[in-house]
Amino acid sequence: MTGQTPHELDFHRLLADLPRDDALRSEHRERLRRLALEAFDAAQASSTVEPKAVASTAAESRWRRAYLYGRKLMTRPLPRIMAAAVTLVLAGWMFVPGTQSTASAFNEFVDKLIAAKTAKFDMEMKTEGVPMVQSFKAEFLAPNRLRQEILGGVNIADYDQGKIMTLIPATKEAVVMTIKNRPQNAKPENLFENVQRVLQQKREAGSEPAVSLGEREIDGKKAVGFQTSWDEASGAIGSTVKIWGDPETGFPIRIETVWNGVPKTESVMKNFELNIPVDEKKFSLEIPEGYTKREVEVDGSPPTEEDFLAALKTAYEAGNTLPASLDGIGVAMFISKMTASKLEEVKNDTEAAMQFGLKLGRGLTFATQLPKDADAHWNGNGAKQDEKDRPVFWYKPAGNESYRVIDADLSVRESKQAPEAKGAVKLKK
Amino acid sequence: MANGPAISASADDLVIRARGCREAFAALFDEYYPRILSYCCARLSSRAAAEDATGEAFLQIARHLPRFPGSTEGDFRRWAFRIAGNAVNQQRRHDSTRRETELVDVTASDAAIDDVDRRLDWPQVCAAMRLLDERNQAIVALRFFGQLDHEEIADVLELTPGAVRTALSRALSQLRTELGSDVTAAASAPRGPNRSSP
Repeated sequence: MTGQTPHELDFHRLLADLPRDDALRSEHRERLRRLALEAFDAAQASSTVEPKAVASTAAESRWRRAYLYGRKLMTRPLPRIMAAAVTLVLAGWMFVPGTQSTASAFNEFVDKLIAAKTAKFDMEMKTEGVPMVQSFKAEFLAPNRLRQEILGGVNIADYDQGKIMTLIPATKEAVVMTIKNRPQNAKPENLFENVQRVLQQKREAGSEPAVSLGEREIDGKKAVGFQTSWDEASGAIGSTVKIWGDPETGFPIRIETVWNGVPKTESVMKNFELNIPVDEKKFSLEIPEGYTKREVEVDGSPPTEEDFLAALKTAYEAGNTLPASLDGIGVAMFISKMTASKLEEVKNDTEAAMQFGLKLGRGLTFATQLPKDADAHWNGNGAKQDEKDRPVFWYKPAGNESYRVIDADLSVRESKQAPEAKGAVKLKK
Repeated sequence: MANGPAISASADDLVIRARGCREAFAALFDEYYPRILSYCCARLSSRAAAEDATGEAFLQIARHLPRFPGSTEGDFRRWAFRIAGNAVNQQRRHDSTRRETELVDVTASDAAIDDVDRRLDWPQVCAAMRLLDERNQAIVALRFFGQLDHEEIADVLELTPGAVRTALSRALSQLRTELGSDVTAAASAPRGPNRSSP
């Protein structure tokens, strides 16, 4: 600074000498940078601000509460590793194989991606309601194996075996999740292989496989981008994939995926090395020496109404209220609150905490993944268990003429008509 | 711009471009993030509260930048720090309980770092700054953490430059008293040939 008085100069020197803890800033900076750029993009896209501004204020207030819950939770290492491992499991429920198979050309760097049998890349995942971006080094080995190195732990997934092992060096624990009851037509896949499959399908699609995103500079390199999407019509959940590649070499530079489910999950893969030698031992599911094995079984079958009821029951049992809503923010707040209270209860028992999180996630997925024609509604905001006649959730199962209605006391009944309840919100898938 | 780090020779162009260009906005973010975070840290004293206020400020900036009426980097700087000041005030109003809790955390964390050289630590400076009235806290924070000059501070806080100078001088005297004159004198003592002045 120039133009300082002697007093100012003294104080400036004093401040310069103070020890300051800057360790967490880069993480916050990266997350905020991304959010700010998204807000900037949204502002650019929106020319009519007033009506949206009113709606967005309410949403932001709820988002803020979710952010604060999640922020507290994610500053602890165990929830961070758990979140990454659970994401690997959720990938199995997220991505159901599609059925398209028509033919057309796509792009040169898509070929390179599809042909990759091994890959190393950096990955970031942002899940709605989880304030921290999860960053990790990833290695892929075909078929269907993925290794994630994350701060404080390692996740190794072998989807063909239906196993995911989480190694936690701090506690010398190896948590092995075994996915049971997987549907034959819904083989769980890792994100990288899923992107390969979607691109393969799109390349084979008859028309409009991708939309050009034009040119952009990424990390000092010129890149050209394409965006493609797949939705329920193709057998998967509404999602988008953006691929940026080097037009000179045809090599992929950056892949961005958005899964528009609940919670919305975004990932970025970058710094690719494809078809390079990888050490197969790093994908071994053998328990390392000195580690204690913990086992968790994960039900990979499609979640049911019973799972949903079990998830709601845990809220009452823990003295909590039901989720205020079943959109991304409502689910994120509910899971954050519940998991925080559970972690206190189980005293960092990794196995119990993981079981709990997976049970909640599975139960809520039942409701949030119902198709549009199920006409699902949520009316549980503020509901109490003794409100016997208050419907909190209803939906029409596939092929049914009548509705299944869940009341606040978690009893279930059939009704030919959808209940009428002021404040009920239709679930949007 | 009179003070503070320059973004580039064409800083004003960057501000104009940032109204409609993502990359230009990203460059402004990169330049201003440390300054605004530093300013919020000085006003709020806890890292978490400061990060939240910084987040609020940048989201506001991002949303309103397409309609930002200024045309120079100075305009942008004053506008950005006004928004950051509002975010800090909002944070103080709505989050006072959490702030107090987290101040304890910061104190404990920094105390460990400061074991080696315990001349003065950041929580002590924060505590002293918090004894200033709100206007003077803002002036000190904008001057030393936002790196704004007196005229710019005057513009942000809607004061005259003379009032800023007087208030800053009084605030520093008060800080000197609170922190102990021996400490601030030590900070101003000669430091050897390699120590450059700020």
